[in-house]
Amino acid sequence: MSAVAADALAGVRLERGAAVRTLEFVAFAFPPDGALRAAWPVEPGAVSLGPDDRPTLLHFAPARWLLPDPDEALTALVAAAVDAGAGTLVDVSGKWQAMQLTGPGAARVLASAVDLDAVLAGRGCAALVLFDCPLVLARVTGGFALWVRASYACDFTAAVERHRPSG
Amino acid sequence: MNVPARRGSRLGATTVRFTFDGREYRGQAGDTAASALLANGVRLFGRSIKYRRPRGLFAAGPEEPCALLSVGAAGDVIPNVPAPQLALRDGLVCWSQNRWPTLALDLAALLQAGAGLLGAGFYYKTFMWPSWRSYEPMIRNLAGLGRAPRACELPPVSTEHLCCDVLVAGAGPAGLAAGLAAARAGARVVLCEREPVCGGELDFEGGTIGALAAADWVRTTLAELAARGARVLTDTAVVGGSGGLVIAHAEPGGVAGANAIYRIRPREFVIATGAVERPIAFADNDRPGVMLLGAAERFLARYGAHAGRELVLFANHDRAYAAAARLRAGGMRVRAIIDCRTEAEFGASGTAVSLRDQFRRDGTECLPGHALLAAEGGRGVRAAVIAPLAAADARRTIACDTILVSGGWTPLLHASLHEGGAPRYAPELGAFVAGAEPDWRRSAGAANGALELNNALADGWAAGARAARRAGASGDAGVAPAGRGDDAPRLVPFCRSPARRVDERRQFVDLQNDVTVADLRSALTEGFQDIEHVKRYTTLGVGTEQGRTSGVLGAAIVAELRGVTPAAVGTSRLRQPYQPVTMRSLAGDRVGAALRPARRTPLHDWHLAHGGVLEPMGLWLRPRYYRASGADAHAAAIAEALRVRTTGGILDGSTLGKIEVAGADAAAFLDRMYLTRASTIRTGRSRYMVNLREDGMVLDDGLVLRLAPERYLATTGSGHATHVLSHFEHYRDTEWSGRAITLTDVTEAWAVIVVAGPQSRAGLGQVLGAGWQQALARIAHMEFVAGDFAGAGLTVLRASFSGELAFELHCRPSLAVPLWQALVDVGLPPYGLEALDILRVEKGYLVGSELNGETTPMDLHLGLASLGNACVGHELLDRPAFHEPARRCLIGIRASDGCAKFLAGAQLVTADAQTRPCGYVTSSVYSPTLGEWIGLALVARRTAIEGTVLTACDPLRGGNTTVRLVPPVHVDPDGLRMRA
Amino acid sequence: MTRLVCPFCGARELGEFEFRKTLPEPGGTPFAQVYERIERPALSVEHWQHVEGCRGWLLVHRNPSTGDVLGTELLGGGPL
Repeated sequence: MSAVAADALAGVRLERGAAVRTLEFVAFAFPPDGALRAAWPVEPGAVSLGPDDRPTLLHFAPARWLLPDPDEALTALVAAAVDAGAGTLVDVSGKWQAMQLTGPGAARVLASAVDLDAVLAGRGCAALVLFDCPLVLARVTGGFALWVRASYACDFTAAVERHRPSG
Repeated sequence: MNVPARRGSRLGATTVRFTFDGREYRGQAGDTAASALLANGVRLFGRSIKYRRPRGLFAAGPEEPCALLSVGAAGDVIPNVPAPQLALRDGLVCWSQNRWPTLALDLAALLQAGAGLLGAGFYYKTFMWPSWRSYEPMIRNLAGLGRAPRACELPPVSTEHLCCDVLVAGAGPAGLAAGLAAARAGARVVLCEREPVCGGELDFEGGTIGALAAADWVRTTLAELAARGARVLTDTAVVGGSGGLVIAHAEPGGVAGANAIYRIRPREFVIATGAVERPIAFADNDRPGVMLLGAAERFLARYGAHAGRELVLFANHDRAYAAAARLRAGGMRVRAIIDCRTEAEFGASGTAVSLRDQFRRDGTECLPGHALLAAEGGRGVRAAVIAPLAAADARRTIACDTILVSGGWTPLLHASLHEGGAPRYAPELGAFVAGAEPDWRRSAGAANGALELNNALADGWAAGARAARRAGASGDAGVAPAGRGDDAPRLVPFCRSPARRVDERRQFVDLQNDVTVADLRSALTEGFQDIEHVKRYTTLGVGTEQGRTSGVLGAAIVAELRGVTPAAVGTSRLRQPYQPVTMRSLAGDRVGAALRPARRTPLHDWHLAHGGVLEPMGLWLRPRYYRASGADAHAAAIAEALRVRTTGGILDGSTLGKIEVAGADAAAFLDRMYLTRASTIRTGRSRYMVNLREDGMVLDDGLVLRLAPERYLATTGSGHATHVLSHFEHYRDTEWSGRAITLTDVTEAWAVIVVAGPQSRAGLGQVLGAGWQQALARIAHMEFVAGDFAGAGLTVLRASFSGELAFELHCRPSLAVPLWQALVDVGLPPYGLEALDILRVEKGYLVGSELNGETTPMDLHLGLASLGNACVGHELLDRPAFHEPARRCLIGIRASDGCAKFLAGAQLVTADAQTRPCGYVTSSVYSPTLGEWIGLALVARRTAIEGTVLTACDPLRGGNTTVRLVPPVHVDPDGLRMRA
Repeated sequence: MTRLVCPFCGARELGEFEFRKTLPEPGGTPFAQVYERIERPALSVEHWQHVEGCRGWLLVHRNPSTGDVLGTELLGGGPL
């Protein structure tokens, strides 16, 4: 993910990702049936990681998976699932603004909005509303990856700026 | 004034200058306003709420009832700060409250003369003739204590969410013991201490814990807690919470500094908040110079401030003697110790006996079996009137300047009782302790009635170990240290000195609310027996003090007057917050721009940069008009609307709600959700559709596009997307569960640009290029074409909300700005929402003003209700009320006189029923096409005949206008322009 | 009760959920289904939606007298 706009706050760094193709796969039934189970993370909040530890498949809602910037292999996998009649694929490019919140103060910033340990307990990702902005949150090395609903992205950035931990 | 430097456990050496009531004083770093003023000889701190009696310092904590100060200057003032809680800083400005013109000379104190008429409940009996409103301004001026600020420039308050295994409220000996035990057992511990320093009363009571002096034990314990990862929050009070959530308020920077709110979810909660001293009631016990015994000790030990020079003590327990010894060692002279216990109750052994003997040898009168009947003195105590309890007429006076009173200790039960739960009376304490508690919450230490140091440590330790165990920590908590402190108090409950009836009017029970024993007696006489009724009738225990010094005292006196035990009386419900919290703190960061989010479209920055005037519409920021179009909103809107009808323009429609519905059962599902069938829409076409609520009312309208045999795009009104989506999701998950349907909100995945006007096709063709020209030429009304443009997907839908030839472009957000700019460059300027409103009213199109949740499809002539589709809501459309002649339906209106104006909301009346409206105006605009004001209205069916003349009444805004009814489509009724 | 357990997301603050409706008695007329409810002090069966989380629909069994939540299930599919 390239840093299109990086705001360096005290101990916290918020980077916005470039606009990439983003898909949502929605299954017709949950839990998904046999064929899908082998390849997909079916536990609530489960996350699949790509080669550079980047989340590539996030199960953030019942029967719904987010695929940020899927590579060819993943795209083929999803297409196979669609062909098998397991669900539909929607191109939602532009709906989610990808961001990364890193640095020693990242958890502190998020703790002013939500009890982080409780929300991410036993799962890799969670759908929630932080500072009034709907988003999907996942833990990554060094901090957190977020996908914020695009129309709220500006407000979210401003909120992180306001909550930067002082000293 | 040169005051020699004082020594105290909280004091530093630096001098601090501050101002009180306009006069400058000096204190030291670590002082509070109370201690510094006391050290400077100030005795008068405020005037009481009802009688405006002069008042001084009474307590040394948030339970202070009288010395409430306002901090800061006029605009930013923070009222009602208890002086002992106000930390000094250089340049602090504070004021006494509730007095005019000065604290020393208060005119309203003349009310004291009429004090007899102002007993409890006088509010309900006087000020009634001729009407209570005549007295309202005067009462408002006299009411309350402080004045509210009019502005707030203070820094915002931060919030932190914490979760832990064990939360301990209070870091006195019991709290520290609980925290340490839990931490040693391996639990994650958070301690909250409302004072700036931990240790509770150990700093003036002293004592030893284990092999260490108390102060050293506190230091090593804090170090061990830190080493084990426990979080100790000082200047942080637990103020409330419910249902497993605990709210703590931190004021590390003082009341006007950067504060924080902690929202804590502990698995276990240990309440070690301690006990507060309570007074004994005697006549004029509110005079400046009457203070709680423990308060005098705190001021001495912590701040080196003397409560007075000549002290008389009045108490009912052994600890008074140890306290007196400490005060004497600090340099004050103890004239007498009045002990209301008899000689037999005093006992024959213990340190109190030897202390008493020593006091007697040094000339202090120690009088068992006596009571202090009254304080003499107006602006300050001059003498104490005492008498033996056995012979209350044998009075004499002892000259003094300070009376220190202690009737025992009241455990602070707020954290337990905020959520209800009846407390239990403990006769040996003369007070209440917590009754049955839920398993995850426990009181410990003095809050649980364990007043001796050793017991408090053991109790706290046990509570902490138990909490850690219940939270799943498996380590060994170890053993509680032994403590040696003050002896057991051997208290005999005593609540008030004997007095004649007439003197009961001056025996104060609640100093903050001016409630006397006479008021309590009057409440009982009037029939208010229950303590809750007594509280409300007399205002006992309301205000910032919340019954801390007055609650148990009031209950004991009510019990005595009723002739029952205090256990039968109980205490009234305690309220959150535990101590005053400013609204600013509760608001946290939700102020100003952060109050609610603002959603932005991909074209937001372009609008801003090009003179768009943006306004919040629901959660979205949308352009109302563009400055280049006209001098003000009205002129700009008219110019923009006219331009669309004559040449063309573009509108940012990205806020349009869009839901993708896919799957084999999608068509059947949408048939059920919409009034008309979606399954009959051909791929590549769209249809205007309406959906209903279960009760038959119209929920929303929009175009539904069939993208593929098993894929639809349903559009909704801006701001309705989540509402309609929830409606769809509900049916998908209940009635349609197990079927092949998926719903996805794609509102933000597609930017929408509306291109409207006679030149729209030509301009669009220029921008999109040759590849699109043919499609644009052939596209029929309500059809759409999906293709590519600039490497990304683009859908062009031919549909119109303006009544002109128009196209809706759906493109990826990254393409929005270049596409928009290109359209502007070929001569299609932007128009805003005001212009859109003009255009749509001219065409009779509906928005939320008409789709207001009270209209049915028949009311709105959506006409299609007769097609018999079994959609959601159709079952209730046949209700008789929906077909009555009085039922309001949609019709157009125009002013009878060309230049007359009417506004939405005006009520419509006929000539012969002028007081009963037959309808109202839902939308109104000035139409540049027709040159007059036009609108839409909902009018009773029997009156809604074209040509009828009605009056639009708008008394609040403009008076009456004559209007006539016309068809709702004002311009181009056959729709020829948009089908060109 | 200030927390509700969403079967998908786990325990979340109550404010994230929206109450939608109490369920009507089965088999009534359309009018009764929309407007009539029988009040039971010990048990209320309700539909809530986790609007600020996964947007799942929940079937909630709740004791309206004490506020205690007796159970939550996700609507619209099999158990997760």
